[in-house]
Formats: sequence, structure tokens, C-alpha cells
Amino acid sequence: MGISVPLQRRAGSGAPFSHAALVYAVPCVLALLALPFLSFRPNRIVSGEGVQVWDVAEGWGLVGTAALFVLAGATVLAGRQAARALLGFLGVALAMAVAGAGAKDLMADAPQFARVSLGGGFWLSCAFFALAAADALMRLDLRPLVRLAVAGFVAAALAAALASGWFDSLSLMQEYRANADTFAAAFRGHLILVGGSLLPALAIGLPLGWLCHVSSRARAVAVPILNILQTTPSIAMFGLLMIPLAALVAAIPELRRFGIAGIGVTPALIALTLYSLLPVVANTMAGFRAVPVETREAGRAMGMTRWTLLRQVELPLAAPVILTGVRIVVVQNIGLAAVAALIGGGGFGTLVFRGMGQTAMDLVLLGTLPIIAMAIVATILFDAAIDTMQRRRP
Amino acid sequence: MIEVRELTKRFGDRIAVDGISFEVRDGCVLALVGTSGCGKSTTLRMINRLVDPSSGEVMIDGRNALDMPLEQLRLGIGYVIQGIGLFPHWTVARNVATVPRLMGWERERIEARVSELLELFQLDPGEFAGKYPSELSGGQQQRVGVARAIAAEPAVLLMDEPFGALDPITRQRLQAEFAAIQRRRRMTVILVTHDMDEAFKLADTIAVMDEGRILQIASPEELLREPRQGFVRTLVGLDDRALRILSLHTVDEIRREPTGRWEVRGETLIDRESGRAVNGLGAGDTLREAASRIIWEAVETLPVLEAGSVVGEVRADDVWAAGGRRA
Ligand SMILES: Nc1ncnc2c1ncn2[C@@H]1O[C@H](COP(=O)(O)OP(=O)(O)OP(=O)(O)O)[C@@H](O)[C@H]1O
Ligand SMILES: [Mg+2]
Repeated sequence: MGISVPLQRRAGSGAPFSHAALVYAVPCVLALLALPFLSFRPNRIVSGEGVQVWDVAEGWGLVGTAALFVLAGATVLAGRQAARALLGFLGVALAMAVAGAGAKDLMADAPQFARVSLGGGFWLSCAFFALAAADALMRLDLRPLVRLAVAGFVAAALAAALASGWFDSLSLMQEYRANADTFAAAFRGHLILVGGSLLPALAIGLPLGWLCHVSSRARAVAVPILNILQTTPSIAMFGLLMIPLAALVAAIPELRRFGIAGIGVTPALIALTLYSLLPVVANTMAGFRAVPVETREAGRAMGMTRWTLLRQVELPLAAPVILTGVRIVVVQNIGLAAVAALIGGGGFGTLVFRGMGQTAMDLVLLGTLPIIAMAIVATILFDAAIDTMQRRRP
Repeated sequence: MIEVRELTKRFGDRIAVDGISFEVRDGCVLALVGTSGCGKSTTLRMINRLVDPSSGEVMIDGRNALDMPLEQLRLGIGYVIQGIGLFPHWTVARNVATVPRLMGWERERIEARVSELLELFQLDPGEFAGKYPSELSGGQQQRVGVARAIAAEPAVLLMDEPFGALDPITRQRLQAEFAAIQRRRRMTVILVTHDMDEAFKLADTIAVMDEGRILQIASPEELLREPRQGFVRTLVGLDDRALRILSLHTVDEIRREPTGRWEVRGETLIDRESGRAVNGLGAGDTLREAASRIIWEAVETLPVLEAGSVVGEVRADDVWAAGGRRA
């Protein structure tokens, strides 16, 4: 690592031509050429007909296409990684602008129930521009605070764009307007599922990880069990939890008053907590194991109590590794929480499954995109925190 | 005063330390020497109870270490760990402050003490206090390790190869720094080392260990003059023992009244008999240095200088007698 990073940086900032960027630019251009950019449907559920990017709204189409191709080429030719990142973000912004304008144009004289959805050409070109930007940012090796600032700026720009009304003709936004209340509830529900499973997972996982670190017997018992839990398919886990919980509530009906039931949030939270245990425990163990023996011995020899040693030496040294485990758990549960909707646990899964039931792909997307966004935000925040921790002691 | 009686440690079937006994009087330095794996570290670790003895006892100032509260015992014993073991997430200053903080000293007192110690070990506080261990060279880390061990002025200091893995020049400087501090503070020290020269230089008493036992425990001179047969003799080395004995003594011990032979002419010192200019010895020079100079200059006598004037002279015969076999 220590050697490869500066080498990469030199190649990236000095060379006029980046082979790495080709990996993103070529598929981006191919996708724009081969796949429809938008798709137009006379009503919500029939399948649509594709519109190529150069055929969208008059004026926007040809100019937009040309500009997108130029941007894709520029990411390859850009001399600096910072320029590549900027070009990548511009590409995403331009693709979105073209899509918004195209949708507005298509809907202008369309029947009342007509819909305009985003096509494969849009999604893939956006994805490759975003990847090119992310790749360039990574190579820049920015300091955590700068990274957070960039992420914050991108998020703010995105929010402003969505609020501007430019995209209101897209089916995705129409679904949002029709389901705004459900969306807000789903967002809240998703946060509750992720946060509500993280706290007990930490409360159990951290001490358990420490116990497994100090006691080989505890390790021999706990780790195989957690391994089995981790490999249980999520649907099976949600289903299996319903049975004992339903029985419990049947036996002690007062529990209902605390919101405990065989279906709903309770089994979802329990399942997510169980899935979180292995990563938390494994990383806690790994973190403690990485504390050098001499350091630990020095602490004991200086007269630290076991508790002081844990608090002042072992935990701070293990923290980056433990936090990596927490990041894994949070990102994993943001994804897994979608399944919770199957047993009435709420969250963005509600939108996904409702969309599937109605074969309304844009409703499915309305549930999926925020999940992806949450995962990205969590990754950025945790990485910045972990990086800050490690940079503080070179 | 540290008294160790019949101390034994078994790891499973293996005996690491086998019934050893010794005592270290207040303000004295005991060196534990021996080959790798002979039980030196284990012995040290039993004294501050990082390892529990299988049998035997350790008395510190008349109190049984096994009866003392663990943390209290350790707070009173400085420990330089084999492999340094600085806390990587703390700065140099914070590392040195470890024990004073644990003992609840006030902040100003801790800061003053840290600066004092860093200066003592020739680490400029302005430059080094805020650095992390990974930013230091090996020798600087070892100095911080020793500074951390003596930060709270412990009466007892255990050092496990504190100056290992250093180049000879840095090691000698650190040894000299340490010797000066030890004399000033009158700490009771047990020093583990592989290096016989280090033991001869720093210790009042040397214990030679092999396979968990003490083969011989004696003053450096006694060890050189009468090493036991076998391992001790191999370890001590007989080839240059005369020189080693000489390095234990100073010019001051054998100097005679000066004869009228030396004449100071301005900056130079002239030997009237030969008419040659000579360099005088210092009163604190070792006899080893004196011998080397006598041989190099091919003379029988050298003057001893103090502050520019001749205060005595050293005769070659006296040097040879000091380093030679006793009748
Ligand atoms: N915790 C332990 N468990 C098992 N055996 C041990 C343990 N600690 C030390 N030993 C064994 O006890 C013997 C003495 O070890 P010790 O560390 O005291 O040697 P040493 O004289 O300090 O060696 P070195 O000069 O290499 O540091 C060795 O054979 C070692 O393998
Ligand atoms: Mg050792």
C-alpha cells in the first residue's frame, strides 16, 4: 500500500492519458449508444418504448449527446485526478439534466396516464460517470474532512436539483409525489431498523468479542454459533423468528403493549441484531488481537488495572478495527432491512414490495435508490471516522 | 532492598527458573546475564508479578511482594520492557507521563517532570514531546522507554535489555547517562543484559544464569578473577580479562605523588627526562585507558592532570599489578 499509492498518484496526475479511466468511459459511451435513455409508456403498467439519448427533447438530444461523449472522453484525457472527478460529476449532472428535459418534453403532449421512466442508457452512463469520479477521488487520497465536504456538497447539489422541479415529469418523481407519506414513513422505519439493531448488536457484540478474545473457551462456543446465524438466509431467519415470538406473545399477552408481536418490527430488529453479531464480535476480537503483546505487558507492568488497560490502551488501539466491523454491520443492515418489509417490519422494503406487486418498476426504484444512498452515506461517514482515527497517530 | 529466595517458575513440564536466590542492596545494580532463554526475563517478571512464581518468594524492603496489592506493587517498580513496548497511540510526553498519571500527580508537576526527563535523556522537549513512537528512531524509543520507567522516581527499577539493538556509540552514551542518573537517584536496579561489557560497566553485582539457575553471583572483579569452571568461564572470556579488570578501576586509585619530572610550559606538558611533550591522564580515567596510553607512548610513567596542573603520576608497574593475578 505504502508504495503503490504514491506511484498511482504520480501516474494519475502526470500522464495525459489514463488507462484506468478507459474502464469507465468506454462502457459509458457504449451504453449511451446501445441502450435507450428514456422509456415512454402510455400508462403506468404497460411496457414502454425506448427513446435514444439523441432523440430526446429537441435541442437537448444532440447537444446533450455530444456533450456527454466529450465529457466521457475528457475523463480519459484529463491530466489531473481532481479534474477527472469534476468531469465525472459533471457527466452525472448532465445526464440527469438531459433526462429531466427529455421527460418534460415527452410529457408535454402525452395522455394523462402516460409515464416516462429512466432507461438503461441513463443508468449505466450515470453509474460509469459516478464510478470515474469516485475512482479519481480515491486516488486523490483526500483528508477525511475534505472528503466529507465533497460528499456534503454533492448531496446538497442533488437535493437542490430534485427540489427544483426539473425532474417532476419523470415517473420516479410522480411515484414519489403519490407516495410521499409512505416514503417518509419508510425512511423513518428504515432508520429505526438499522439504528435499533445496531445498539443491541454493540451492547452484546462488544463485550462478547472481548470475552472471545480473552477466553478460548468462549470463542469455541460463540464463534460457530454466530457463523451459523450469519449464513442463515434472511427470509428463513425472519420466518423462523415469527414462530417463537408469536408463541411468546400468545403466552404473555401483556407484551403486546410494548409493541412486541410475532410479525412487525420486533422480529425484524432481532433478526438484524443477530446478523450484526458476527461482524461485531469478529472485528472486536481482531482489534484486540492486533494490540501488540509488549504494549499490553507494558501497561500491566506500569501498574494499570485491567479496566484502565482496557479503557486507555486496548480499546483505543482496537477502535479502528472495531469501527470497521460496525461499518460492515451498518451497510449490511441497510440492505437487509429491506427484507423486513416481508414480515411487516417497515422500511424502504415496503415500497419495493408494493412496487413489485403492482409491477410498477419506478415504485421499486423509489424504494431501492434511497437504500443505496443510505449505504453510500454510511460508508463515507464511517470511512472518514476510521481514517481520522488512524491518521491521528502516524 | 530486593531479596529473592528459592524462586522457581515452571511452564508445564519446563522449568524456566529453577530455585534462584539473590539480594540487591539499596542503591545497587545487579546484572542478570546469560544466553537467550535462560530465564532472565521470567525472573524479572516474577518480581513485579507479571508472572506468578511456582514457588519461592520475593521480598521488597522487607515486604512480601505476593502479599502486596498488585497495582501498588507495580506502581512502585519501574520497568523497562524487553522490546520497549511504548504505547503507539500516545505521544512521547504522554508515554513518559504514564505512571505519574496513574498515581494521580497534578498536571503541572507531571509536565515539569516529563520535560526534565526528556532533557535528561537528550530529547529536546519542544521537538519530541508531541511526537508519536513510530516517528522515533530505535535509540530514541529506548530512551523514552527508560524515561517512562523512572518517571515516578521508583525506588526499584527492573530493566530488560534496555540498551539492546543500538549501535555501540549510542549504547555507550545511554549507558553513561543511565549510570549518572542511577548514582544520583540511588535506585535499586536489576538489569538484564546479553552484553558482558554492559554488565561490567553498570553493575555492582553480576549473576550469571544458565538454564534457569544462577551459576555464579559475584562482583565484576571477582567474576573476572575467579570465574567458575564451565559456562561462566566461557561467558566471561579469559582472553582479555586483565584489560577488563583494568577497566573496573580508575587512575585515582593507584596514583602516586608527582615527582619533579613534569614541567608545564604554557599549554604543553614536558617530560624532563625524555624532553618529549606528553598528554596527561585524568583522575577519573580507567586503568584500561591508562594502560593503552602507556603502551602507545612507550613510557613508564604518565602524569595525572587536574585543571591544568599535575596532581600525580601513574606508573606502568602499578597498572600491570592492578590488572594482574594476585599472589
Ligand atoms: N509464558 C510462557 N509460557 C511458556 N514458556 C515460557 C513463557 N515465558 C517464557 N517461557 C520459557 O521460559 C524460558 C525462559 O524464558 P525467558 O523469557 O525468561 O528467557 P530470557 O532469558 O529472557 O531470554 P532472552 O534473552 O531471549 O530474552 C524459555 O525457554 C521460554 O521459552
Ligand atoms: Mg528476555
